[in-house]
Amino acid sequence: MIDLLKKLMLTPSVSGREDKIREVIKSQVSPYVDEVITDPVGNLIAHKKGNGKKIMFCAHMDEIGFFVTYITDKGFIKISPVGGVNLTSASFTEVISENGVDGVIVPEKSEDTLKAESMYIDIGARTKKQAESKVSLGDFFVVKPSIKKLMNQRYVGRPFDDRVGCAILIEALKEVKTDNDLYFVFSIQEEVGGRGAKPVTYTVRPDIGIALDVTGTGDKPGATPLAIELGKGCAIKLKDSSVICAPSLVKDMQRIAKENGIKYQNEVLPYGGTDTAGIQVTAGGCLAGAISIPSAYIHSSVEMIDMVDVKEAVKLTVSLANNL
Amino acid sequence: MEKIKQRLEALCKIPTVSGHESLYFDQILNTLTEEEKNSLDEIKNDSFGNLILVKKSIKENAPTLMLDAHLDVIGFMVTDVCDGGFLKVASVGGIDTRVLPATHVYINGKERIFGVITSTPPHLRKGESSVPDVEDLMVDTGYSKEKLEEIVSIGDTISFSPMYTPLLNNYVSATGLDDKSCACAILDFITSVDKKDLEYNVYGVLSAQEETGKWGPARVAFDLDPDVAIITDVNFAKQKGVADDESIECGKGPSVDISSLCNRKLTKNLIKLFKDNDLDFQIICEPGRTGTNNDAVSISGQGIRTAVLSLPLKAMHTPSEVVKLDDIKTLSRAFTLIATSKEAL
Repeated sequence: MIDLLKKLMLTPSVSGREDKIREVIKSQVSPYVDEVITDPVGNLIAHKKGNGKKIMFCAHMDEIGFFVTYITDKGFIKISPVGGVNLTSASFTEVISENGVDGVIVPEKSEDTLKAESMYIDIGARTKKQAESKVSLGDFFVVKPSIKKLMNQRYVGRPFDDRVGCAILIEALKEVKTDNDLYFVFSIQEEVGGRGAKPVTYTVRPDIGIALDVTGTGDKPGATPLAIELGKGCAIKLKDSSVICAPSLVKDMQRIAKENGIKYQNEVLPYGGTDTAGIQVTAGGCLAGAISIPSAYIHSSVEMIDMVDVKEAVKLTVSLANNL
Repeated sequence: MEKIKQRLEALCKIPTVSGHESLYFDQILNTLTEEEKNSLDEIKNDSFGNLILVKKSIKENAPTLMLDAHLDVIGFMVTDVCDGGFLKVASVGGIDTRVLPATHVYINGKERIFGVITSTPPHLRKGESSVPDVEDLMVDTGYSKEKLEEIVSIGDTISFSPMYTPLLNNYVSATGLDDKSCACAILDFITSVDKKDLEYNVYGVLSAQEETGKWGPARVAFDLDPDVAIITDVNFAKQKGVADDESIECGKGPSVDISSLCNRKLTKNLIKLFKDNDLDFQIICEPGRTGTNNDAVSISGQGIRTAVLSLPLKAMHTPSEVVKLDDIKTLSRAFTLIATSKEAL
């Protein structure tokens, strides 16, 4: 599982540029499904055919990062953020481009509120011409991906959001045994507004749609109050800012978790949004819910998860696919 | 009128907080008599939580008319159960937070229990804003934390206590009149109209999650693809503190909304129909979006011809909304006129 996570996390693919991560995921899922399709916008759909309920699981494969907007005469690279990057965390860190060019990201002056437009990437170039030989407008950079084990079962690094969801789906796919008609979807562009989940839901028209994504925790100093803790199990979403999950599905998810001895927490998130919202309201609508993986410091360079929660999320995904 | 009064009271007492409508379909349908239920062709619901009542014309190839009123009401969701029997909450829908402190609420846990929203006495407020954020408030239940945890779980809904008070001159004050008033008019119309008179196959939709993003009826519209949809919701009634040009008057019937998101020809047809039949109605202009389910339904699927009828309501989004029963009766009559007239749509 950790090896798989590493492989997924170390393949940078920001929103709108999911090609590389899609190929990695495709090679992982192909042996376990009947067909793998890439839809016109770039979502990867892994279909395991069955005659039962049509259930769609969805984790997004894109991540936050930066697009190159301009290169100055001195060879510094100006950027625009993709998704909700934590700029405090990003500043003075190492970044890497889609073509493997190393650099560092620096704010022009130290201010209380950082703005992406007053930050730049320094790749060590002396001139514009030199920089342009390595980097083109529209290339993306990400804060350098990493993954490291801490105490207990905790891991820190980036981007756990939402490669951990992708890894859970891949692991679950290996274990499911059911007659349900399963679609495992790896969606694009979640970080810029859940843009991939909508067309793929239209294509699949599932009876039930379940997103897998990270959620915040309330157990760190200064955190927004939230009854979610790292290591207490995966979370079953009831609500976030973008969605109220179908109560009947939530009940079924809680029941199936209990019946299978899976540790879970109930999530009522007063902020945030996931693919769940788009899945619920596309076309004629469907029963929508989400399995969340508690994560501290989301969208920073030091996202933290607990493998206890990840393992429970795999078990819950398998149990739902088999028993819903 | 007595029938409308009783049905409205029953509807207002059902705590259909957004996203949880489907838990209460049985109770909603209990407001219909067996005879009324039997007069319908079909009663169904969809995965999203919309309740759909169907009455078909006996004519062949009759066009489809969809009527919509939202069933959901604003409320809260429990986010944490705390020491001393207090609950932390998040709001569901756009609640008027000015009126929250010391308001009575019901917590819809394993059983329904009573609570009061916390309030800082005026003596102790030191120049703070009198408009609190929901995060600054808690719900006081009087239970111990241990006892409370047996009854209430994170994610349970909280609704305003189901107050229903008749006022003079056929006014009533109640919680959830937005949009149970319009739902009541749809139920009154669809259960009483004679199939033989119908020019259209009528789908009465009591829809889900208007208050959290106008999500519900666009799902029905997508699958049903009706020839015409009429959206009904409440609108601001003239009262102290509300400008004349932004409001309609209680007792003068429903308003026809003129908006760029409503079909112009359909809107004109309705105005003519109401004039020709001496039905009380008003006009309100919503140049862009109407702020109702119309804005989602009109662009659902390949686009749907829509019109909006709205009922005047005072004290919107508070626990004590006020409506005049005559307007509900008039709205029901407007539905009958539309559904039985070939030229209407």
